[in-house]
Order: sequence, then structure tokens, then C-alpha cells
Amino acid sequence: MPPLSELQRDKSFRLKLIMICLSVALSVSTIYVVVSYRLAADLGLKTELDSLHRQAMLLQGELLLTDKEDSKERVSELIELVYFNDNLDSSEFYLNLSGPNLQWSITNKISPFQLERLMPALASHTYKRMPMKDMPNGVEVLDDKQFIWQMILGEQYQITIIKTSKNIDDTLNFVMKRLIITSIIVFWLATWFALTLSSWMNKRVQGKNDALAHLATHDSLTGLPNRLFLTNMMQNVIPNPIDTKPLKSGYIDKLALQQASLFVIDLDKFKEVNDSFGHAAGDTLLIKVAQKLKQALNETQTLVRIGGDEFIIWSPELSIEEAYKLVQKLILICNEPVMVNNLSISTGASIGFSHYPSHAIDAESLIICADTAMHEAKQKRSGWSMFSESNKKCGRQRLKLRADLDNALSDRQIKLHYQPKVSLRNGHIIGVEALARWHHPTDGLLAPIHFIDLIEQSGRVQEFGRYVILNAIEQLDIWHTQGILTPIAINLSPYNLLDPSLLEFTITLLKKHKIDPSKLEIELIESSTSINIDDISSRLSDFKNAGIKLAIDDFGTGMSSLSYISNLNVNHIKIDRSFTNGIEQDSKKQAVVSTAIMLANSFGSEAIAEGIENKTQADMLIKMGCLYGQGYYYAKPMTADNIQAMLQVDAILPL
Amino acid sequence: MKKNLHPLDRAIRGVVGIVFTGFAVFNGDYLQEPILEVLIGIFGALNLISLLFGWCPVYHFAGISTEKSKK
Repeated sequence: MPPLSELQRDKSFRLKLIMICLSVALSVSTIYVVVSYRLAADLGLKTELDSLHRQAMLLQGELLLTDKEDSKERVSELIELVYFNDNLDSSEFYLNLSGPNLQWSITNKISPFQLERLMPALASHTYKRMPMKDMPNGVEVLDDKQFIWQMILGEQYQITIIKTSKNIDDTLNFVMKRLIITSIIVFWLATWFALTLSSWMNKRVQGKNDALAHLATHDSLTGLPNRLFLTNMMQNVIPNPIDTKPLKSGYIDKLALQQASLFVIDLDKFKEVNDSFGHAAGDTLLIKVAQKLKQALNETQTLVRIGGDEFIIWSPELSIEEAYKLVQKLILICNEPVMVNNLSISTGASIGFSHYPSHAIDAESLIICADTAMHEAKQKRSGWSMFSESNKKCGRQRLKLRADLDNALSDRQIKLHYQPKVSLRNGHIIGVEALARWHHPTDGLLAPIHFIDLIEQSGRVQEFGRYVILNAIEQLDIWHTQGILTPIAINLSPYNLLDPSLLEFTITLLKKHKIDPSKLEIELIESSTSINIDDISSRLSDFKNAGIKLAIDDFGTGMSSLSYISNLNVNHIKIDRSFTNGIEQDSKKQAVVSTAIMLANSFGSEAIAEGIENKTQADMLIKMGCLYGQGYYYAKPMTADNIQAMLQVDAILPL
Repeated sequence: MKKNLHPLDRAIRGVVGIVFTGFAVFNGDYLQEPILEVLIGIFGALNLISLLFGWCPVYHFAGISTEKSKK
């Protein structure tokens, strides 16, 4: 799930922030210490040189003021007093005086060798220093020692002083001490700042991130987690059988489940509530049901809304026996009436559940197993059903078929087979009913019962409806070029009629192939006419007005109102095979069939009996006034080529 | 005051606190800088608070805790 992993908390974000803050603080501290140190050093040096300059000037003054004879003694006395007294440590020192009648020098702790190396350096400076050419001074580094020097090149006396600077070292020690302490404090403050700032930013960013992740993984209506959340969660606890990353295996083992149960819940009457009371009522119903379901669960169990009126409950470590108990409890909860708009609505639910690892070992299959069980429960109206071993194979088959469905439509693997409708009196073919058959590349020929619900579940009903119409019209076109004018009847799901542009699609195709609309007939099962009556009714009228014929399929089995059918003005009413089957002996069936025929006649429609299997049935139906029929007695559904051959010779059935 | 320090964190702070407070109180003149002396005193005192209560005000405001840290 890439979108969710992108939203996962970035645990290193905070650490990164702290590191950035600290490194900024560290570099600021370093720059500050270096600059301060250099500043202090420069200041110290300048002060020292300044002081040396004054000392030299003082000496020169002393020499100029005193008598020439005893100047030497006075100067040496002065030097002794100033530089070699007890209060100051005696350090490296060199002084040289030269002038008329005077050549005197004193050396302390400076070796002649050092002097030899210092003097040329000093001499070189005397030429360079133009602005103060008679009083040059400077710093020389020799043997890791800093020597400062001052020369006075007066007209009478020349003075050279060289000394090491203890004051510089003192100053630097002094400054460094404070700098280091200050740095520690600055760094400490910076750490504080970094921690607070990073945690504040982290909170804000993660807060937004969490909100986004919540939006992505939760349903906005009920506030429940959604399918994305579920698959993510399940992937974390169910080791993927294909995924054999050795690095992560330890991690997975720790979290891996021993067992778990998954429930798929589908509300039975949600659509009716939506249709009758509006979407707002439907939403209220969903919210209330979700609340009730949630209350029934413990903390480890997760309720997920996967869309529409379908919920999933994921319950880790729940055994099959416990699941039985829970599912019964859930059924009771779903059957409890819910108050919506001051009306008490009881929406039943069908629940299917599957067990990990006995039914499936990966998340997706587990959901599909439970889904299969749910559909079984729905069909049987049994309330709930567990995915069973017997339909395990069937479930796998469904999984496979579901995956193959893509190719089925794009490669046109689903083909139309045709069963003739005949005139019972003379055996002439009056039309054909198109029936879908899937020519599966590995599983052979599959009847609609194997794939129609897959199509409905995978949301391709409308695509499939158009596919069937397209195929039928193309077949009509082929037959027209060969002079065959037999109409084709196709079966449409009521959901197809909810497709608003289906009529336009059909008419465009008919025009393109230059087919008369009356050659196409739409068969609807009777029960389908009863859902969403107004909508379906207006759509059917549109088809009828366009010239397309209509038929009610499986008449007598649905629950639709007769008044409604009488208003539809359908062309054909097809009497369900359950009435034809055994009509010879059963007088009740005879009564139903003869009434249906009468009804059809009075509606202005033609009755067609389905499922005729022998001549007795055919004769009986003729006697009752039924003119048309279809069934194995006449012909089974056959491929387009076979029926074409039959139509070309205008065969009389049964052959 | 809820504890938010791991024993190791607390111990390190204790040592730092004692050293710095001791330095500020007994040897503050060494620096010849009252501002620094006061700052070191505060630094040391805060660390001593952490030692005593196992609680750090900065951690508190930053909303972090090393108490349950696995380190």
C-alpha cells in the first residue's frame, strides 16, 4: 500500500531536527570562539607591542637626557629595576644599545644561536616598514615561541629590544577560560532550544500527518476504518506466503497470529431504505448500525466499512467456535430495529465468515472466502454462513475466475449462444434467445451461473450489459447480410437499466449496423421490474418507444404487481419453466399456466412457455392457447454457427 | 512532577550538576566574570533539580521522556 506507507510516521524526523539545531549551535559556537580568540590575541599583541614601544622610547629618552659618560650605568640600572625585579618573573629578554661611545647589550635566557636567527629577520623588517621606518617593531615565531621586538633607530642611539610575551599567553588563557565556559552555556541553551523546537515542529508535522493518514484510512460517514486500513493491518500480522524476506522474518514471527476470524456483513435492506427514505436516512441507518456493531466488539476486534452497506469485522485470535457465538450475536444486533426519522427500521444482515489459517492464509483470500460465505448466506437467506471446506474449491475457482474476468471481456471469451423460440403449432423458429457462455481457456464452457454474480460483484454489470448488446447487434448484422431476419432476445440485469446512456448506446449501434430496433428484444426477469419501479418503468418505456421489444422473463416467480405489468405493454410474457415442468400431472400448474396465458392475451402480449421438454407438454400448451414456446424438446442453446445453419434452411423443430 | 528521566540520564545530570554548582559556589572567582558565574550556577542548579526529582523541565515542555527508554 504505497499511499499509506508514505503517510507513516517518520521517526527520524525529530532526530534530524535535533541534529540540525545542534550542529547549527555547534558551528555558531565554534565561529564565535575562534573569532573571539583571534580578537583577544590581536588585542593582547597590540597592547604588548605598544608597551614595548614606550619602554624603548623611555630608554632612548633616558639616554638622551643623561650624561654621555654615565649613561651606560644608568641604563643598566634602569633595566635591572624594570625587567629583573622580584615582582615579575624574569623571562627571555635581549637588549642592545648602540650609539656614540656606547655599545652595550644584555641577554637573558635567549641563546646566541636563537639570536643569530632572530637578528636577520628583524633586519629585513627595517627596510620594509616604511611609515615607521625609524621605529620598526613586530613579532617573530621561533621554536614555537613568540618573540616581540622593537627597534629605535634614532640619530644618536639605536635600541633593539626582544622579549617573549608572557602577557599574551596570560591574556589568551584568561580569554579561553571564559570562552570555553560561555561555549558550554551557549551549547546548553542551544540544546534546550533544539529539543523544544524539534518537539514542537515534530508535533505539528506529525499531527498533520496523522490527520492525513486518518483521512486516508477511515470512512468519513461512520468514522470507521476503511479497506485500506484493514489490508494494511492484516498485512502486518499475517505473514505473506510469497514474501520471504529473511531480514524481516523475525519481526513477523513476533507479531504473527495463531488464528483469526474475518466476518463480512452485508445489510439486507439497505438499498430499500435508501430508495424509500432517501440517502440521509440510509446514512443514519449505517451510522447507527455501525455504532451497535462496534459496541458488540472488544478492543482487539476491528470493525471496518468497506463501502456501501458492507462491513468487515477482523477478529484476531478468534477460534471457529468463538466465531459461531459472535456471528449469532451479530445477527441479533443487525435484526434489532433502528430508529430512523422516527420510524423503526429493521434491516437484516447476511454475514459470512472465514477463519485464518484454515480457510486462507493471505489477507485478500480471507476476505474473498468470507465474502463467498456471505453471498451463500444471502442466497439461502440463512442469516449467516461459514466458509466451508466444500466450497473452498469453489471459492478458489471464483477467485481465479474473478481474476480472469478482465480477459474474458477484452478477449471476447464470453460468447452468445442461442436457443430458438418456436411456434408450437408448426415448429417454425420465431426468434432466438441469446444466452451468455464463457469459453474459458482452461475451464471450458461456463454457464452464466458461474460468472454473472462475479460480474455484478466486480462492478462491471454495465460494461457487461453493453457487451451483450454489442454482440447481439453484431450477430443481427451478420445474419442480415445472409438474409436471416430472426430477432434476438437478450437478458438484461435491472442494474443495466439504471445505466442512463444505455438506450443511446443501443440506438447508436442499431443505426450503425442498420438494424431495425424491433429485431432486438430485451428480456427482464419479473422480480427486476419490481425494484425501483418508477426508474425502471420510465427506462423500459424509453426502450419501447425506440421500437425495441420487451419481454417479461420467468413470469409467475417474481412478486411484481400485475397492474404494473399491464401498464408496461410488453411484447412477450415468458411463463416460467417451473410451471411447464410437470404440467401433465399437476392440475394447479395447469391452472396457473392457463391463467397466465389468458392474462398475457388480455394484456395484448404473446405468451411463451419456457422449458418444454416433451411433446405432451407442447400439445397441452397448444390446447391451452399458448402459441409459442422454447425448451430442450425443440432445441438446446447452441453456438451462433449452428443456429445460423438451422435458420438458413428454415428448419422445422423438433428436428 | 512526573518523572521523565532514565536513571542513566539522571545520573549524568547529577554529576554535571554537582560539578558545575560546586565550581560556581566554591571556585566562581576563577572566571572573574559574574555573568558566567551566575549562568553556571543556574545550569548546575537545574541539573541538581533533575537529579533530585528525576524530572527535567525542558523535557517536560518539549514533551519527551527518556524514562522508559530501552537504552
